[in-house]
Amino acid sequence: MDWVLGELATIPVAWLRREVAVPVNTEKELLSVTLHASAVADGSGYWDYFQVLYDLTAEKLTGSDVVYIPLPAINAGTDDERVIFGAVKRCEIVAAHLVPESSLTGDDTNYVQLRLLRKSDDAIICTKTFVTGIDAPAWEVTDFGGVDPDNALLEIGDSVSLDIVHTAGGLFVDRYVLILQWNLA
Amino acid sequence: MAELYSANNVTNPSAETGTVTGWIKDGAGTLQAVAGGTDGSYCFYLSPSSGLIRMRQEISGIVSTPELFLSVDYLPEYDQIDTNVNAKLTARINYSDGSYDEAVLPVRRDT
Repeated sequence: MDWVLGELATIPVAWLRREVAVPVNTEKELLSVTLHASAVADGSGYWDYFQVLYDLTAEKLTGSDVVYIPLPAINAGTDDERVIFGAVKRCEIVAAHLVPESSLTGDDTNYVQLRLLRKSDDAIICTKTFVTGIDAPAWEVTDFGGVDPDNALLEIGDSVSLDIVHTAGGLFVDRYVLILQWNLA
Repeated sequence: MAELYSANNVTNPSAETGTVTGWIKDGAGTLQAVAGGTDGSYCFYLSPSSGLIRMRQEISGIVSTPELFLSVDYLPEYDQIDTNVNAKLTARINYSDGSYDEAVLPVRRDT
């Protein structure tokens, strides 16, 4: 328990700070955290600075291994699927990013979708769809977003493909580097 | 090994919007943003009118981790003269199989 200096209605006052580290069962899939402050009877009070942080030192979060895959440009309207990764150990994909050589600007009518697939069952690991408002600036790292943990696990021998699907006229995708972060599982 | 934690995953953690956006009130009583606090210019005021009141937020998108760090600052409205825990912070860790773990932090001046 600590005391920290704060205010109430501009009057300086000492607040109680409560903090704790809570273990998580890593053998289960963490779905969410429900945080609640509660009070009964004489428990009326003031609350501030709620924090929920997670441990970044876990390998599963940071991606202990990274591969960089240079890929060619793809013309608008030309679908393409190619293998980009093979699992020589049991592992999981934890994140994917791309760095294009020219900006990729999303469009609601003519757009392109990039998907990473676990080829043993064509399960979608992660997806990036370039519709209006979703862009990838040139020479900058753009994250794919969330990875489906159920589909990111690769057994020995599994492979991952990058599947590019255009809708309507599609979008031109200039040369880019695909970055994969993975860990032993 | 040095501790290394993520950015805060709580939406509107310090009422800095001047509102209680991001929080759900359960039970009868008052939940509002008021001037003061330890972080910025506002804080939350939580007061039951009868029974239990709570302010709740569901946090998703936390990737698998061995440990969560919870923290909150609290200032009771009244001096507490009984021995009951009248206010607490609870974190319920929900797993995809429907099970959960729960961590409870009582907040009293003498805890």
